[in-house]
Amino acid sequence: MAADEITRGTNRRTLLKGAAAIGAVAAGSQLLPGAARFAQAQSSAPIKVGFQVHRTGIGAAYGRWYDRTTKAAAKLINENGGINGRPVEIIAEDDGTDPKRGAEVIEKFANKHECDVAFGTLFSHVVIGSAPRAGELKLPYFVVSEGHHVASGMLNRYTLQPGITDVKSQVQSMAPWVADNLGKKVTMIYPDFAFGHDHRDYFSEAIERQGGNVIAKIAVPPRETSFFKYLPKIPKDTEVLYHVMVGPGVLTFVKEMGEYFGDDRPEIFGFIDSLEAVDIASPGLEFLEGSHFWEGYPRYAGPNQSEHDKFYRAAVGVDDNGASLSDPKDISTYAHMFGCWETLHILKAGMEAADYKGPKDRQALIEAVENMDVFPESQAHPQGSKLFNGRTHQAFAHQHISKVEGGKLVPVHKTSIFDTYYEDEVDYTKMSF
Amino acid sequence: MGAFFRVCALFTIFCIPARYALAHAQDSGIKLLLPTGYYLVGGTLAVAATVLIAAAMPPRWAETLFRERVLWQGRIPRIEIITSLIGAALLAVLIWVGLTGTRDPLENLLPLTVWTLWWVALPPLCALFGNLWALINPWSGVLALTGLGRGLVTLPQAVGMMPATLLLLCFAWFENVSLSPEDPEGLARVVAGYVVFTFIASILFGWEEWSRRGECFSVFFRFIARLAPVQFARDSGAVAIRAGFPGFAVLHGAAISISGALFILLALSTVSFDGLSKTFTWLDLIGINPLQFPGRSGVALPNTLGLVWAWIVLTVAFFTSIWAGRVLARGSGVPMAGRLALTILPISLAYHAAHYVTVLLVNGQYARNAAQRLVGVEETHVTTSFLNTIEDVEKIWQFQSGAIVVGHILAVLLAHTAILAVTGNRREAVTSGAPLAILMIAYTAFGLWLLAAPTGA
Repeated sequence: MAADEITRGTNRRTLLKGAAAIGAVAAGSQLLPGAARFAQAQSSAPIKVGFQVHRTGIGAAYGRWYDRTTKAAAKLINENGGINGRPVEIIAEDDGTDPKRGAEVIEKFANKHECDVAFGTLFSHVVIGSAPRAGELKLPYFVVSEGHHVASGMLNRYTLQPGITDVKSQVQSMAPWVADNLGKKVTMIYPDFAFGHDHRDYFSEAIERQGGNVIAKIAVPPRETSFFKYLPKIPKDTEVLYHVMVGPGVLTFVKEMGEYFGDDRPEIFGFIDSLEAVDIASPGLEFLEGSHFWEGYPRYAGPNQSEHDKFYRAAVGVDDNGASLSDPKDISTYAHMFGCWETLHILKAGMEAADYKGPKDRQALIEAVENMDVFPESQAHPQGSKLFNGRTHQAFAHQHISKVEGGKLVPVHKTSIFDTYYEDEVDYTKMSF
Repeated sequence: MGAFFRVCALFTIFCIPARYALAHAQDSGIKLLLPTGYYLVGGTLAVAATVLIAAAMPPRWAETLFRERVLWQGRIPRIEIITSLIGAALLAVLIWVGLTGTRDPLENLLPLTVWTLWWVALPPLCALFGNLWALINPWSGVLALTGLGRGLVTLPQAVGMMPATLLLLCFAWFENVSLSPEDPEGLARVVAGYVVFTFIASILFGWEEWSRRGECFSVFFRFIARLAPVQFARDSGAVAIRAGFPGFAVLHGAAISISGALFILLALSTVSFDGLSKTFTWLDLIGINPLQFPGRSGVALPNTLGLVWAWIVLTVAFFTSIWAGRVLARGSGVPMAGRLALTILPISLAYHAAHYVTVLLVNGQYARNAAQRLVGVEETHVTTSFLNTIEDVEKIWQFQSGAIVVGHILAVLLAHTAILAVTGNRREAVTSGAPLAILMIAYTAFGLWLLAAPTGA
């Protein structure tokens, strides 16, 4: 992101505190290869990071890549001198993708493993179940969940989401490009529960701001695995079909959509969440050719690949197609997992800014991170620059729109960070510790 | 106040649904694209055709098919004491690793060994090579060496195999319903507790009795091993090795008790329910959004009840079919349940293989990595690409559906032969076996439907 965009944003939204802050955080977030090793620290005891990970349960497919990314980030941080000269130790505990178990794991981090912080998990219900316990135990809890629950004010001062944008940002930032390039008459087809409702509400509002409107909202009951009876409900004058189907029926949905529309179809826009970790060139997905997807971080390294992306892929072991280097058919959860990498680097920057020495400095760590406002694109932030709102504990970042061409996702648009921004819904800094 | 907030937090979790729910297409999604309906019809018809062929074929064919042959007789040193001692030592090390090693259940050797190598892989191995658990269990060696396993009191005959059956039910609950059965520390405590409990029970009732009626895994693996094409039997020092068509040993030997039948039905119903509990159908039935699975804590009560319900349904279906067979044939009145329950074993093994094959394929890689770490070799990255590509998912599906169909075909043949052996009359065998054959055909269809059904947990 260009520096002037950050500056303009600073003036317009008073999100940033000034160029000095940018410089300080930027310096803090840089990694210095070959920096002084752990011996320089007063204590060489490791910084213990409790890693709450979906090892089992419905989130296990994501957990596997979150684990891989986290290990790669920790390895890099340690190779570069650790945090405040101390090595990082990742202590992984399986949350079973379960909120009750998630809370138990937080307790273990605080009381049994004596972790300095907790970090990691993705699924919203686990975060929502764990955050209250982290607050009670006064354990900083850095989540990588995408949920709007952090910025909505639902959680507490100890829970932060600095390394990944939330779904509200992602959805609303799509509207300007969709309205300008695909069409203004949108039909939304979504699963009939909170996940789908969020998309419906956030996007309807955002597209209206762009002069478009949602002409039909088709809610599909979650138990459906065939969708033919819903497709005729799509109005004929639909210019863009926005779909966010999830679950095992997704592939059937795409197939049936192809059979229903044939060659005469509206523009199609979806979220990669539906097909994360699935090869776009899979048989049955041919119909998606020419359609567009939101991506948090482009799976395929395009011609404009940054050096940071190149470095990050190599460190995690991912090839230019977003697949594992050890198995080109093993597609990563590329649109999401960078959040672990970036969050660990923010943790490092925060601890160094707070001169973190142990659990008594946890409040200082929270305050240090709350005082951060920009994370420039770097090795630590390969997905791109981010603005961080200390009041809402939420990061804002560029989003990407990619087009399916030849069975690959080709990036066609990168949003402004300010397309993702929305007004504060909470000010956690006013809450006591 | 803290407790109040926790209650409020839990209430919040279940009232405010997760925004970011199941968002990942797994093999269940790809299976929906496969022509599983044809397999379901074809597989069910194949089992039905087997019933008809068995009914039509001369009785001696069945008898010949499952005839046993003695391969070898002689003396073999009691190596099972040594192997059991090694098993006990290894288990002690594993419990220690569970308590003190990495917290990650996919890196810690204890959960990998217990859930993947032992519970998933050992039953098929026993069905191929015989009762390996008798060799490596951690109790028999120590008890034989110390002389503590002779027993102090008699386990009442009236209880039959109910101790083993109830313990298997507890195990099934721990595996399928409890919150975190893979947690290394929690698992270490449970395993250690069960080992001590079994030692105490064996000292009290004697290892011979307890391993036959109380220690549920000895009972389970002994049953499963009866499917092996090679059978080892030791009788006061002399060993006989018999061979025959897989499952032949089911037909040779005494009938089992009603509690033994209940044990076998429970073994099948638990693995069936584990599959069922993940389907959209079950989740819908218990009021859970299948795209928004709340985690095990959110379904603990319905799944506890479901586990028992599945056992009751299968038991009622089985005994009703036996009763109906006797009524239809106006037959000899020989009790058949204790013989026919054994013929369910191939179905149980087939469900086990089909249900756990993906666990084996994924967690087997983690187990390999743990071994690589042990010997200092660089780890290989785990891959699950075979769950996301249509060619591989089709191969997995073919294995699963093949296992279900073959298991049921073998069960049908064994049941027919078992009834023939008692009645000696083909007409009576066909009539009295018809209800059970229908149940087996229905269970084939159910099994194939289960494997193809969309899952949300």
